[in-house]
Amino acid sequence: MIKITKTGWIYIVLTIVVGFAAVNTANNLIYILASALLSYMLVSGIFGRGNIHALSIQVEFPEEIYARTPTPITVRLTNPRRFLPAMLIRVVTTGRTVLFPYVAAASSSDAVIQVTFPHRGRCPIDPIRLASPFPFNFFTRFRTLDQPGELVIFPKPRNWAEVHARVEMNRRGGEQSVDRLGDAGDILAIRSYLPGDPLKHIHWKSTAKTGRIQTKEFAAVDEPDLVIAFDQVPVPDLEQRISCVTFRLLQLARGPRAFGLLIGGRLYPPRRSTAHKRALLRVLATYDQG
Amino acid sequence: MIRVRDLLQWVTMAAVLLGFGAVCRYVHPYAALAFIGLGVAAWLLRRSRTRQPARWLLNTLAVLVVVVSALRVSPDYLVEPILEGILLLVAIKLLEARLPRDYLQIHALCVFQLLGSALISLSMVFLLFFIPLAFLLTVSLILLTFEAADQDPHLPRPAVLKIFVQAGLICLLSVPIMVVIFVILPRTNYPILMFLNQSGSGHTGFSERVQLGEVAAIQEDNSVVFRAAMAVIDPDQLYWRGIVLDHFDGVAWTRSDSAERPYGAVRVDGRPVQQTIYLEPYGNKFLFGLDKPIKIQGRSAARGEDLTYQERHGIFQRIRYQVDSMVGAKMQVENPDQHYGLQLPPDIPEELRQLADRLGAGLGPREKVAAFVRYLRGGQFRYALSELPVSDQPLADFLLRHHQGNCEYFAASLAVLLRLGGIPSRLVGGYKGGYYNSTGGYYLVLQKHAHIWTEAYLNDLDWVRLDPTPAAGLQPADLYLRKFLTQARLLTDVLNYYWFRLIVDYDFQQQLQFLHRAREAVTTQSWRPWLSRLPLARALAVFVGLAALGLAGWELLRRRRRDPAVELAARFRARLGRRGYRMKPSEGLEEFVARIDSAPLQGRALDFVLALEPYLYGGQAFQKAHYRRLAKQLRGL
Repeated sequence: MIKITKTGWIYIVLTIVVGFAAVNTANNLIYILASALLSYMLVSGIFGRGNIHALSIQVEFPEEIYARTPTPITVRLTNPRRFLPAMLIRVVTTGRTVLFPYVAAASSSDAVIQVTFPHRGRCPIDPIRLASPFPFNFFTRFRTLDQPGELVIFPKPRNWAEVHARVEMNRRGGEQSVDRLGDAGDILAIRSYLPGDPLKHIHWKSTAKTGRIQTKEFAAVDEPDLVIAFDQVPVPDLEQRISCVTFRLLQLARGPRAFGLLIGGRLYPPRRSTAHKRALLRVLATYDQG
Repeated sequence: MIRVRDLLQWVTMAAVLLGFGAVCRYVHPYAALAFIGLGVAAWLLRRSRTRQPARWLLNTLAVLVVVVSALRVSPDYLVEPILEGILLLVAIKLLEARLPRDYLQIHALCVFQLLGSALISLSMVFLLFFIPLAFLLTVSLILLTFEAADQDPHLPRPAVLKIFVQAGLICLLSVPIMVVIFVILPRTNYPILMFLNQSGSGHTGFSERVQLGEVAAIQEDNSVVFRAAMAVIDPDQLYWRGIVLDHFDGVAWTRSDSAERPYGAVRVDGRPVQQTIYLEPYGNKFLFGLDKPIKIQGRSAARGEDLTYQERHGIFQRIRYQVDSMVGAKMQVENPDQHYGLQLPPDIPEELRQLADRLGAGLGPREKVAAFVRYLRGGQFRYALSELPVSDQPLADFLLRHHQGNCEYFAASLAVLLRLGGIPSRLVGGYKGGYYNSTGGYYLVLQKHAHIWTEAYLNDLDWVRLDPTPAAGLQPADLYLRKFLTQARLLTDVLNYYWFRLIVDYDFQQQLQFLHRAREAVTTQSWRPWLSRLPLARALAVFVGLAALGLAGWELLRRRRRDPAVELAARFRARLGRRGYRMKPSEGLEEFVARIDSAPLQGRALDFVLALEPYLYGGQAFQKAHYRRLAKQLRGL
């Protein structure tokens, strides 16, 4: 696709004037000028086409994109041509434009753009448009590259501290000591002091009894799994509720507990993995969007 | 990194200088000085990074320049004032050049300068400015595109180099397209702005009054009078007839009214020779042709009884015409005027009369002619270009005292002696000889070749050409040929010749002819023998063939140098690339194949990859048969 620029129109007018002068003076040197101007128009078309030809674009999105949060997106322009460099390529993707002034032959160049997606949920990726005014800014030539697929924009996380206390439903109830060494459960054993043991763990009574320093050993406390019951979160506004739950999920993902989600009558059992976290975020992102 | 704006400034400066070079010969020295002054000021301002003058001031100045130029325009003086105006506008624009659009305007003005120079002169020097200017403007336009696309862009050095290479490529690629467009662009027989084309300046040349000693001045001029495209002929026959002078007043020869009489019945026989003459503007009305020109085509010149051809107005444009001549011709005039060719000035010196009587005593007309010629060529007369007898009685001085003179003295003496002896005679002015350029197939005739000879009317032979100037001794044209620079000039003149023949003179008729021929060639395939006849086409065909061969060889060598397995892998990638599958740099061949959606294609691709891998990764030696098998498999994908 081609769009004629303002400079292009000026050039066309100039060519017409020179052509008129040539025909009406029958001066062959002016004919040479007119032919040169015309052939330049044609050749600039050929070079413009060649400049945009065979280029490929990879747009790399981060794994997690949150709504209303600036997200860096990497745009990579690859020029596989053997001799011809790519000049002045404008890439339009996700509503933003990035300019690649010069990409040498058989090489690629990266550019990072900050994009903010306004809404959570599925977001189809628009076809990428390449545009270039090269070589003469007479015409802007466009090419559209299909990049099939869609993005899922996660909801914007929102800290709402007072809600958190009420939203967790402990499935087993309370903490449980387990048969593992830790530092928060019941006393499991008493042993001789080893350098490095914290002072507060010294069992003074048995130290006094034995005359040698003794240390307490504690059982570990197992954090119980958590399931967030989405519908019971006491935030009336749906979007705000989704944001709060997102925040909490992200918080939990950093902790040691497994976490799950009960949403719309469906239970996502507790697990602890990045993939699980993203799956839950995706559920939240697309919740109530049909 | 190089700042695009800095580069743009340099390139623009160079373009402006070229534009100035193209027009500086035609503008007033004051305009040129003003341009240089403003240009230097612009440069100094830029160097010192001082604030540029206010735009309103410069705009006012520009308007003033336009008004003054417009006021100076007159019907006779049209292009130069406009060119001077454009020149000053360029300088003013240089002072305010800040924005891309300022640079764009400067370039447009440079184009107009070139256009103006083309209106004034059709010389090949045009190309000297056109080619580099085209290149510089291309670079500028690319840089301006960068300027328009980005804020104060900077480019790495290789990118700048590539821009120059691309500009060169654009120029080169434009040439063949330009040639095609040049040939087919519409042309008209009635251009309405023809008056814009400036007349060429006339050289000193023959006029209708030739004073004795005057031709020596013409012979000092090295400029070209005409080129005559024709086959080479006997040098003794190379007399180019132009003007006939039949009235002598004692000092100068002029053309009488009777010579202007329209052509009556004249019978000419001899060997026919055809020429195409490319006549430079020389100011007078006479057309030249090989003696004796019987027909001129391509111009509407009036033919006189004396076989001279006269245009209605002086020739101030380069013209082309065809001449049919009869060489070694006898020219018979029916019903000749009995008194024509016998006029003599009343105060003709008595001693000349006595000389004629003495030389021709008791001889018939033919014998008299032979005796007079013998007398002049006898050895006592010397050919000379300087110290010519210039007095009230130059002929008597020449014949009886000085005994030295140039062709006019010899020819005029013979004519006067003949007339004194009762034989009608006249002088013919034109050119003798010419340098034959075998590359271009034409005679180059300079003012140096200017010559005057005599024609005598003998009843049984009719008008015969007599050249009493001694053949011995070097004539100006021969002397000129001895200079080294002349040789170089003659060699390069062929460029000039083709420039005028193919470019400057290309017109509506030639376009029609060309199209007609092209149509004929397509319909009858008659281009085959035509191609083989044409040396240029043959050379072009050989060149294209060699280039294709070279390219093929290079590609073959490149493939050879490459490991065949690597080459097959590359071809495999390219083939799948055309189907929309691009292999990532980090991907292995099998991984790549696994991504293919279409099962049959995936199967075939996998077969190929598995067959290739032992050679590609396993270092297994490649046999020719293996290569062929794999290549076939690749083609089947």
